[in-house]
Amino acid sequence: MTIDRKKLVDLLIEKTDLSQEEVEIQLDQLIERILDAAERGKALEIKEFGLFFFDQEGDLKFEPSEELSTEISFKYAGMKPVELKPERNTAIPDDDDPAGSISAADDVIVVPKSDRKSPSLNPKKSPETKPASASASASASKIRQPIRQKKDRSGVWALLAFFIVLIIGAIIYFNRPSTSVTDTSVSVSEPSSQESDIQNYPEPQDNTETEIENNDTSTEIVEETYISEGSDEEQNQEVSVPIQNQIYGLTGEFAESVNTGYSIVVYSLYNDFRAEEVAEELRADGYRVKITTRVVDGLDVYRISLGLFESIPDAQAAAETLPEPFNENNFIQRIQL
Amino acid sequence: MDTVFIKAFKEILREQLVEKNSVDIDGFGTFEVIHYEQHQKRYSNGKVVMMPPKDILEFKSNIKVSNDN
Repeated sequence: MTIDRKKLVDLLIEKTDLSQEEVEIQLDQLIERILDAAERGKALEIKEFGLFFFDQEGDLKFEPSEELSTEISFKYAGMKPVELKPERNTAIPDDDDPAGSISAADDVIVVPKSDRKSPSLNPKKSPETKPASASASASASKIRQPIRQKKDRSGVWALLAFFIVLIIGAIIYFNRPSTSVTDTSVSVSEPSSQESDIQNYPEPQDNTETEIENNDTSTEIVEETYISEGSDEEQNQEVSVPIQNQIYGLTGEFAESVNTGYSIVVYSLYNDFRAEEVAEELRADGYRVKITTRVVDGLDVYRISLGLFESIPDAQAAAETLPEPFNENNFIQRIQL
Repeated sequence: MDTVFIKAFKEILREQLVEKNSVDIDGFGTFEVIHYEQHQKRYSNGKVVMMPPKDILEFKSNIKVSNDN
């Protein structure tokens, strides 16, 4: 919405109880004063609002005061850049390039494009015979290494994730054999007992009684079926619990054990009661909701965030799926308890 | 100039700008809040950071003075 001069005058009349003429005169005087001061090469400051001045090109500029800037960007106040990747300085380049490690790391940035065309340069071969090319090759290798390093790192993370999944899979798998064994033993009497389901629990007792008369071994089987059914349910629960309580995602509940990850902030509020109310509403919608507190200008700010994600891209992708206005009006913060 | 007027002027502009409304004063300029999305930034040392989003107040004016003096 745009407030034009007429609306502004109306609002000023409402606020000051001055007449329209007076307000118009005062507004013109203010503008004149700003321009007059600026034209004289001075800046005119309206305290707690900002500074008007002419820049070197002669354009009228305005620099908002810190208070006004903070107030306008209140929602994001106190936010700091989040580092996404570690520094380049690692032990890997030293292992690959013992001779080249002498060259200054800062100079590396200048060289890259010309030297990238000669990827076959090997600093290990003749570092002493060709000092100029050696330093160039050393720098070239130093430039390339971080790129490889990044890929390696992502590969390592992927492998790590893969192994974790494998271990979890193995744990689930090794917990299952007991069910599969019982399943095989159950398979004989399964049709009758499973069709009856839980509602027909009393019936099997009758069956056992009748079967006792016939054969002792068959009763054992029948008893096993009920034992195995029970254990099967338990195991199903065991399997389904981690799925329901997945650590990451937009919906569900926050696992207290997880203290790192990324979340989508959709509200920043001063009032903790209001924050709790809003959080409850979002929880009712099935979202994984968390309230985090930040101190901004000495005041507690309650940020309500949705979901928990392993990485920023995951969080960004999830943020796009949020309903309006959250899908456009949000930011991602790192959760650290 | 009336201090009551100045105070009211500041308050009204602040209220409107906090609500992301732009204020266009004819013959003077336009105050407007611009939203900047979060974005990735790479420093010269290779560090990559996610810059937080922010709302910035911008003032656009057609008033220009010559620098002949």
